[in-house]
Amino acid sequence: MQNQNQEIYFVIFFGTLLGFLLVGFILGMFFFYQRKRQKQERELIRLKEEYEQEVLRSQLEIQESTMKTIAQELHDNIGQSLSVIKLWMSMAPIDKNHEAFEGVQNSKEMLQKVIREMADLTKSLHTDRIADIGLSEAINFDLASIRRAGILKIRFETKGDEFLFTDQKSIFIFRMYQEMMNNIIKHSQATQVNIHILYTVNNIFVLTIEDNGVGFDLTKKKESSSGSSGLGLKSMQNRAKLIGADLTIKSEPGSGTIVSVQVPLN
Amino acid sequence: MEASFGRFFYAFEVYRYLTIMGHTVEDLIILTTFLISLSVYFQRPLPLYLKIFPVYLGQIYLTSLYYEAFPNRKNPAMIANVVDGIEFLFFYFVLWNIIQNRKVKRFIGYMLFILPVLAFFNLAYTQSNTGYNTINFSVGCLLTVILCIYFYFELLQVTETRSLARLPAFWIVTGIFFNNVCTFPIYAFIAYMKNIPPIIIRNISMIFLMVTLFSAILYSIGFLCRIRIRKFIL
Repeated sequence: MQNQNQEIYFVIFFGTLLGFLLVGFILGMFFFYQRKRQKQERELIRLKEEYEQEVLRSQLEIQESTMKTIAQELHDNIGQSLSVIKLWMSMAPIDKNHEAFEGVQNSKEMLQKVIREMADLTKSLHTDRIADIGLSEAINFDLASIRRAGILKIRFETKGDEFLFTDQKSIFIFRMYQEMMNNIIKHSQATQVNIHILYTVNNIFVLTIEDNGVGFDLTKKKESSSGSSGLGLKSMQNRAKLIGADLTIKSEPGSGTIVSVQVPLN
Repeated sequence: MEASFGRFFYAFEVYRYLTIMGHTVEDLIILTTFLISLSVYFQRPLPLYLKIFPVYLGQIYLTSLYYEAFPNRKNPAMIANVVDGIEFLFFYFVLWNIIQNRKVKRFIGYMLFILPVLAFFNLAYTQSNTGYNTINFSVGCLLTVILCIYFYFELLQVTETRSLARLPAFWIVTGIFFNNVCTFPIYAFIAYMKNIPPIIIRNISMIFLMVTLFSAILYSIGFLCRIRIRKFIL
C-alpha cells in the first residue's frame, strides 16, 4: 500500500515536472519568436519609411532641378527677347505728336512690368539664389513683388541672429513659405498677412504666417478624397517631414489661419 | 512485449511490467493520435512531412499490436532495432523537409544514406545481433536532438511572419525533440544499471507513458493547429 502511494506520488511529481518543463520550453519559444517578429516588423517599418523619404527626396530634387532649368530658360531666352523688344521699341522714331505714341508708351510700360515680373519669377524659381542671399532676404524679396500687386497688406518681421542652414533646408522652407502664400492669395480672401521669423538662441528657426482670411476646416481638408484638394498641404507636410521640421496649422472657418514651421538647425 | 513509440529495453523482463502497467493506454494514445493525424488530408496546403506522418503513426500502432499478438517471439530486440532505425530515419526525413538551410539539408540527406549502412555494420559486427543496439540508438537520438535544436535556431532567424501557434512544423519538431530528450537519459540509465528493482522499472514505464502522452499531444496540436474555427454570430 505504502509502495503504491509512493508510486502514485512519484508519477504525479514526475508528470507535473515534465509538464512544466514542456510548457516552459514552449512558452519560452513563443516569447523569443514574438520578440523576433516584433523586431522584424519594426525594421520593416523603418525601411519602408526610409524608402518613402528617399523617394520623396528624389521627387523634390527633380522638382527643384526642373524649376532651376525653367528659371534659366526664362532668363536666357524669354528675358533676353523681352529686353531686345524693349530696346527696339525705345529706338522707334515716335514723338509725342505721333498718333501711335500713347499705344507705344503703354506697351513700353507693360513690357517693363513683364520684364520685372519675369526677373522676380526667375529669382524665386532659382534655388541657388535662395541659398546665396539667405532665407529671410529671399522671403523679403518675394514679399516685395506681392506688395507691388497691392492685393494684400503684409507685415514682415525678423527676430534674432540669422543663421544659415547647411543643406537644402533653406530651399525647402522657402518652398513651404511659397505654398503658404499661394494658398493665402488663392483661397483665403485675406486682406492682412503677418509673417514672423524667429531665430532662437538654441538654433531653432520658427516661421509663422498668419492671415485674417476665411479659414478652413483642417480635418475635412485632410480627409478629402478629391485629387487636387489638399495637395498643397500634403506637399508642405512632405517637405517638413524630410527636413525634420514641425509643421503646425491652426485654422477654423471664419477665423483665419496660422501656419507655423519650426526647424532645428541640425 | 510493449514498446513506447517503437523502443523497448534490451536486457531484462521490464517489458512485462509495461504490458501490465499501461500498454492498453499507450495503444489508445497512439491510435487517437493516428486518427487525429488523418485530419491533415483535409487541409491545404499539405507539406510532405505532414502527408507521411499518419503512415508513421499507423506503423507504430501496428508494431505495438504485433508485440501484443506475439509476446513470446524469439528475438525481440531485432524487431526493436529495425523499428527504431526506421523511426530515426523518419525523423531525419521530417527534419530534412522542414529545415530551410541548404547545407544542413544536404547533410541530413547524406545521413539518410550513411546511417543505415553504419547501423547495419553495428548490428552485424560490433554489437550482438540478439540484443538491443545501444550505439545505434544513442547516435540516432543525439543527432535528432541536434537537428531539432538547429530547427529552433533557424526559426528564430528567418523572417517568418506567421503565428508560431499555427506552425505545424514547430509542434511536430517539439514533439520529436521532447520524446528524444526525455527517453535518451532514461535508456542510458537502464543500460548502465545491472539489476533494476521492480519498483523503479514500474516508475520508468510510467515516465515513458507520460512522455508518449505529451509527445502525442504535441503531434496532435501540430495536425490541428491550422484549422480555423469560425465564430458565427447569430
